Amino acid sequence: MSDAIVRSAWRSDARQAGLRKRRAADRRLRRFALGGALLSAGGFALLLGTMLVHGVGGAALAFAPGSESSSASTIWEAARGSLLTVAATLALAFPLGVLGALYLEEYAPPGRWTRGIELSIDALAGVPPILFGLLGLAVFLGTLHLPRASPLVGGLTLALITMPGMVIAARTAIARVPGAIRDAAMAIGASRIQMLVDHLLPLAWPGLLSGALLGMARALGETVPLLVIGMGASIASAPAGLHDPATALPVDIFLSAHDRHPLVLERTGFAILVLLLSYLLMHGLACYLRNRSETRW
Amino acid sequence: MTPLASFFLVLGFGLIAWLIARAKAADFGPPLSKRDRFIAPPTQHGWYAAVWTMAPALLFVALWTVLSPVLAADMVRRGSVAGYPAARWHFDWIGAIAAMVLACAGGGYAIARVAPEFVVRTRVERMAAIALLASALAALLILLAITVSLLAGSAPLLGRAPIGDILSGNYAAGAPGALRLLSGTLVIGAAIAMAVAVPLGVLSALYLVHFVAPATRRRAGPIVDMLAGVPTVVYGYFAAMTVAPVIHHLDATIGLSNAWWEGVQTAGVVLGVMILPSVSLTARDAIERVSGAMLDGSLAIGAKPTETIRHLILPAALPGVAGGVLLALSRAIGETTIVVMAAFAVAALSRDPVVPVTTLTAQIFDLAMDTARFDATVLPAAFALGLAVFVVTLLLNLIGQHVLHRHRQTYV
Repeated sequence: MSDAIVRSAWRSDARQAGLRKRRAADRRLRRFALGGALLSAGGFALLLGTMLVHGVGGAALAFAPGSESSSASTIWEAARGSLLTVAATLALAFPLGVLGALYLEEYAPPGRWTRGIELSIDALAGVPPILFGLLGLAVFLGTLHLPRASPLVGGLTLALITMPGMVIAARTAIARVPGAIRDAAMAIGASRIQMLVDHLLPLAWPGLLSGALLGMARALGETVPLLVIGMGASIASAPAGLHDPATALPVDIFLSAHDRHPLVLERTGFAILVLLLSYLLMHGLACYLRNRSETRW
Repeated sequence: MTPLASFFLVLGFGLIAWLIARAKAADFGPPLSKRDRFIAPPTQHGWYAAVWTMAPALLFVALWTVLSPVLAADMVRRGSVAGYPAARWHFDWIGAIAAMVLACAGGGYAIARVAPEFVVRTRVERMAAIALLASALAALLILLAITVSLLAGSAPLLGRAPIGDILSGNYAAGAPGALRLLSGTLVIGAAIAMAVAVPLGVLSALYLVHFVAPATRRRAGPIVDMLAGVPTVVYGYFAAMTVAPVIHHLDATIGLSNAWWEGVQTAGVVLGVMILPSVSLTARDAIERVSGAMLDGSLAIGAKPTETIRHLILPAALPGVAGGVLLALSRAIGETTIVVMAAFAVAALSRDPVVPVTTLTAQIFDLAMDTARFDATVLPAAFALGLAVFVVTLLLNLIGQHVLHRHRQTYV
């Protein structure tokens, strides 16, 4: 065939027009996707920006010299309650999560029962928190008569919520330790338990810690279960122990969010700032630890 | 002595047993053979004794904590003791002494068995395996506990009121009917929130995976992860402070100033923003899994990148994205804080104190918190609605997980 015919087939007007349309469609879709991404990013920037602005404004007023309000001290009550509750949550959920993950990774025979356990953990991870609050109301307050609005009950309820996440994170951390470590330990005569405790867990530790921090970050942000078990009524003083009635930071924010009185606004803003910063700090630390745990073996 | 004190007392006994058994085993002198050194180290004797001391006693303490209030109430009813606290004290002491007896018995048995030829290693292994299995079964147990408590809690209502009443709303004064709540849930959660989250989430995932430099993508990933877990009160506060006034203003300029509709819009939009990172994460995972060979082939036959996306990637990633959407939907339906805070804000803005909270979860919250009307009729209603939410979210979760699991198996 002569050059002229081939060239004209490639460079025909119809084909060129088609190509132009396709390139234009490509550009359009690319811009559309960019628009979607920018809109999402913008929405979150707006969210975080307004929250930080409110928070910094509140903090500035709270710590301003000569300020009449005692925002800083009242936030401290809520913060202390949150601290106790999250500590109780961690104390309960971390051991359960790690032990459960150890079972699933090291002991469980592949089969229907193991799949059932994994399924129940996944199902539990998706249950709305308010239902855990109802469970806490019925069982911890109702049947067991534990002290109402105490960090103990709050910790128990939140531990139920965070346990599945802990199991999943711990499983990832444990699975990441190479099999060679396990085999080597058993080859020099360690029993299974000795291998797990002395060799496996220390190596998986950064990942486990990261999972614990993520669980704590989640527990810090829960409001509804704590409200349902009674936290949030005005308390006389900061909780001294796990049994005293307490409130929590997110509960405090929730209850005073719609109050536009300037003193309350400033206090709520400050609380939001503390909550957000704590969350970002915990999450950042967890990410850092997770990166640390991804060492090349 | 409270149950908590009994608990710590048993732990103390366990520690003592551990020390005694370990000392006794170390006392046998150097191991007779290499084999003995492995099968019976003194520390494991210690653990053996500690578990035998603590396990029966702790199980008893747990059972007793549940039983003793019932027994105490029974005793008070029969009139043989003055007041409930006295009865509780009585039973608490019985429980504490019984726990101590059990601990000593178990410890004595275990310490007596410590002997040079006792193969303690296999026994400790078995104990550890049981403990791990029990921890893993805890999740199953909790799921069961939730189901049972929801059923038990709503039984008084379901037994008394016919389904028609529950649907139309005659089960508690002033509470909307279940059908109305369901429609509210669907409109806010399913319709508006999904309409916001799914397009934006999938688009940003697409953009991140295919149109962005790898370095930026690596840094953006953890950020999206972080956004997915921001406490919901922050979103609620955002809804109350920023979004509600804007929507109020917008609706006023358009002409419809219905407080209920404003609440629905505010809650729906903020809910969508909240689940956007989750949708984006699962979508990104699904899009990344599309095989590179197929992508290369598509580009090789001359398709533009966006044509590859439209004809290859989206259909291939669809099951994964759909699974993620179902999981996000379940989360949106179960969300309470945002809706309640948005409703409060709208009520404050429009000076209308009666903005009916119109999702299932918000109504559950309202009923559970209504301590002023804390009577027999209200709490079972909360549990009944909770049962409905539980069933719906569980179904959505299981189906979503199943779809994701199947999709991952295809592409692993």
